[in-house]
Amino acid sequence: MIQLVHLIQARNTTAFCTFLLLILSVFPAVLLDVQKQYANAWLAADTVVVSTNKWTHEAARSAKSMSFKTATMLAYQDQFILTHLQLLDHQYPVKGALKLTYGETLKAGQVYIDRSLAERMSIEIGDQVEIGYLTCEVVDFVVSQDEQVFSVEAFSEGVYGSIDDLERFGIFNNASRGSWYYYYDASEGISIEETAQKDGQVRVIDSNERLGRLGRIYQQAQDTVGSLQIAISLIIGAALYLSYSLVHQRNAYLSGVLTALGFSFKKRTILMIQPIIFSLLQGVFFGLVLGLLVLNILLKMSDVSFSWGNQFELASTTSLIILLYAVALLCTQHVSMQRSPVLSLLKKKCFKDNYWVSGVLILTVTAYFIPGWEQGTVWLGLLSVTTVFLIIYLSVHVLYKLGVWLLSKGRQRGLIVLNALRQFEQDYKVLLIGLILLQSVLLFLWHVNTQTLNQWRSQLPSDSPNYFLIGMDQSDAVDMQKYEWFADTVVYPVVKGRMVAVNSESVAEYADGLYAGHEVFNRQINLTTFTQLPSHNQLIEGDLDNGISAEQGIMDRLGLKIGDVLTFDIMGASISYPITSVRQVKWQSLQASFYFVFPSFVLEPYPKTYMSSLYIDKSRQSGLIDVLKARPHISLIDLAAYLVAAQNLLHIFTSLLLGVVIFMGQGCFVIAVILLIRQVESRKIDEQSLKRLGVNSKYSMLIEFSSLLGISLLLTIGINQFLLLRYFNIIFFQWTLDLWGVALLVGFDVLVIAMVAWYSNKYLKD
Amino acid sequence: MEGVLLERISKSYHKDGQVIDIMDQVTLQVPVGTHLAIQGPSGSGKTTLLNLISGLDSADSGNIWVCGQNLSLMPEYERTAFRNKHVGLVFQDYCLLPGLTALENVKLVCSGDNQVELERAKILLVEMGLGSRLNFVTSQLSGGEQQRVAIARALVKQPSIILADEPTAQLDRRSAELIMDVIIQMQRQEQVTMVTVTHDENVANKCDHINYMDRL
Repeated sequence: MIQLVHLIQARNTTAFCTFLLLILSVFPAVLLDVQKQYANAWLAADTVVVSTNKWTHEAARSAKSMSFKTATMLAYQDQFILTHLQLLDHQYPVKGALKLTYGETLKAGQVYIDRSLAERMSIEIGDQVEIGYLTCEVVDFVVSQDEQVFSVEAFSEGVYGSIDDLERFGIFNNASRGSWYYYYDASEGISIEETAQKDGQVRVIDSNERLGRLGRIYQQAQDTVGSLQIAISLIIGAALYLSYSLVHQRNAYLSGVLTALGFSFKKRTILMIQPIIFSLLQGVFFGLVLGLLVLNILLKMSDVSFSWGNQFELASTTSLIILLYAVALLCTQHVSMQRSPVLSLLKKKCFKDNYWVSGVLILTVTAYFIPGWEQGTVWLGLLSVTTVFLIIYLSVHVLYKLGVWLLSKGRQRGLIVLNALRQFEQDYKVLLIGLILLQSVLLFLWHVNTQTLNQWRSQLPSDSPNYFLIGMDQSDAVDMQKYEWFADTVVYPVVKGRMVAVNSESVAEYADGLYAGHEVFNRQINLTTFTQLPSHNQLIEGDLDNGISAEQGIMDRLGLKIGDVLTFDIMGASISYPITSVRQVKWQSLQASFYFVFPSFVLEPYPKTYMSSLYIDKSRQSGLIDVLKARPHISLIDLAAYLVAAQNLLHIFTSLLLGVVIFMGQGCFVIAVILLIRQVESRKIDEQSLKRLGVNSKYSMLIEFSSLLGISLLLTIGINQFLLLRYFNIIFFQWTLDLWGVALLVGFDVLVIAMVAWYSNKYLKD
Repeated sequence: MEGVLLERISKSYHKDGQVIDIMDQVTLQVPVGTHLAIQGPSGSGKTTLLNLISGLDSADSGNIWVCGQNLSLMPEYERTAFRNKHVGLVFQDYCLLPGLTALENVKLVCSGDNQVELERAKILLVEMGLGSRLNFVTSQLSGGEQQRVAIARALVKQPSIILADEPTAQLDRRSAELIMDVIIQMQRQEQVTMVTVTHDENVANKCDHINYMDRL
């Protein structure tokens, strides 16, 4: 009967783990889908080449489609708003990237407008809007454009015109900031990429480069989901392990009796394995049915499509993983049972099965089936996860031993707790690792959702810049000095350049390719020159005059040092200068900041635009609008809108992660329950002993779990601070420990302790 | 009345609808400082008797006086506290906590900051021949060693009364004699009342009195 109870419990755990894994596997699929749609795949074409100037190469003529993007101001009646403007040719969109409400064809003098923008400005079809010098008729609303959602332009809603009107808008001149895009089909992709790489004037779009800093956050979110997925798979493995080890313990006695009665190895194995396999298959079946049911309900609710073919594939992979996990566990457990002497088995004692063998087997299955990262980085990712696990394990181990040591110095109640901590050490360590991972991610998400940009903004002085002006030419920079609100603004010349070598080694080969993927090596960056050091820059080493002044952070991230010679490609010319000084930049000041600053004579020969950041209060914004109406080639970036959009983007990512974490929490809960079930018998025996000795064991279980939660809380806070630094130092937030977040976790822990109290009262005191 | 006094004690168990009588109107007196051995066949109620004296179990009728207190009138939690304070128990199955070392198991019953008791725990274990096993967890000790730890634990608090259920059952003859000598020496020195259930004639013969129990 007891055997049956444990088999039922193992079946239920299998069903739950199958369900969990199935649902969980949908998240990376969704994330990948998001990535495909919005960032990486560029559905408009298989290969996209971008150039800051019109591409004159022969290859440009074979493009399937072409577009030009820039930022500009849109005027409608009394409203004036910064938008991105994309000028399209007649072949665009190549693959249906632009979704329109009515499907109208675009002609010269006409524009499409983003539906949300139209709604906000109350623009109707047929209305006239002004862009630069041109008045255009709105002919359709854009529902979505896949290629831009995660690009910077997405933060200002867009308007789409005809490329035939390019000259008529008057929004750009030689100094304007805009990009030409050339779209190619897959058949031409490789040859175009080779041509583009040789050309040097253009480059093939790389999603990470396109996404910039937010892209890096996105990539990290994706990696995090991958890591969490692996972590949860391991938690599932642990749950299965613990559950089947209960059956295993029961089987040990049965095996002893059967051996004593002279049953052969084969007969014993069949007799014991058969019911386990049966309950395993039952569990997988129930888990799949439930998982697919819930999945389809969720899909219906979220309006996301996921074909039956994909669902079948998902279900097959999930069941295969669970079966492999279970078979790996059963094999190691069965071997340990066969190795145990009959007399030990008759006393219900069996050699402990090897945790590490089971662990390695589960890890291998996880690594093979659940690569949460991009192709090619699976092993590196797995290595990272393993390293993180080991670090967490070691930290848990040290704190656990410290706790045990402290308790051994204690008196009666401490010793009772010590007894449990020693007996269930391995079990508790597994639980702690799961709990720490869960709590760390929860606290991290709490931070990101509640603080991040809001906190940062609240730290800024009230007169911090709220606008960036980009793409000014020299005459603009001079003429605008007459405005009072612009008079004191520092204007920086900007020359676009691409870093191609460090100490004569190409960036791809520099430091054995260690930094080859860094965004600074893969895009054009803004180079400038200072007449005097701005207040938000501090010279911490060297001399500004004769070489490149590099920003401290980028030097650290790229492993650069003073004396290294950097080579830049500027307008096809190659210039090399050594780094002679290091600057510390206060990025959070919102002032225009630069990684590399050159002596003025170096950049003198090249065409340049001018950039500035400034604070304009509401009463003076009309003056700014007049300037922009007169000079439509100047782009204005509203930082407030940018930050709101960035916060929304973060919210999307954190919501996705939260979904994963909820399931992770369920996994931990299952483990905790199984652990407690595993402990019931030995706890009852201990309880009986204590009672016979007249020792009061009241509250000892609460103290025990409080100690465990204390350890987990300490490590969680540490890991959380590390995660925040790791993920957000790129946007230079000043982090403080969020006490509300910690209070939330303490509340969560108190809830766990209350549950344990209820459990111990109900089951152990009977 | 100090020591132990059982007045017309009856005890029966119910199993599968049947009533099994273990004791009927039993009266027993163990004066302070004496060591009584209880012998008898299996099922005669020897262990039940110890359970009643220690307050682990309660009688159906009659009074149980131990150290001047009537256990029959006490609720369970009071009996538990009484046991902790006055009674040293040696169980047949040791009742050691598996996660604790030999020394920690003995320390477990010591109260608060009593350094004397803690020192005494070490001395007792050394006297029991476990000086080199102080920091071994229970599972690393043999059956005989575990029994000795259990005896040390019963003695460490210098209880008013020691109840031992087959204390030398797991020990070889030589070790059994050695251990019994330690126990009896301590019992006599400190005038502790002691009741020992044993099948071993040699152990019984070392006691002041021997009582025989038979099945009902």
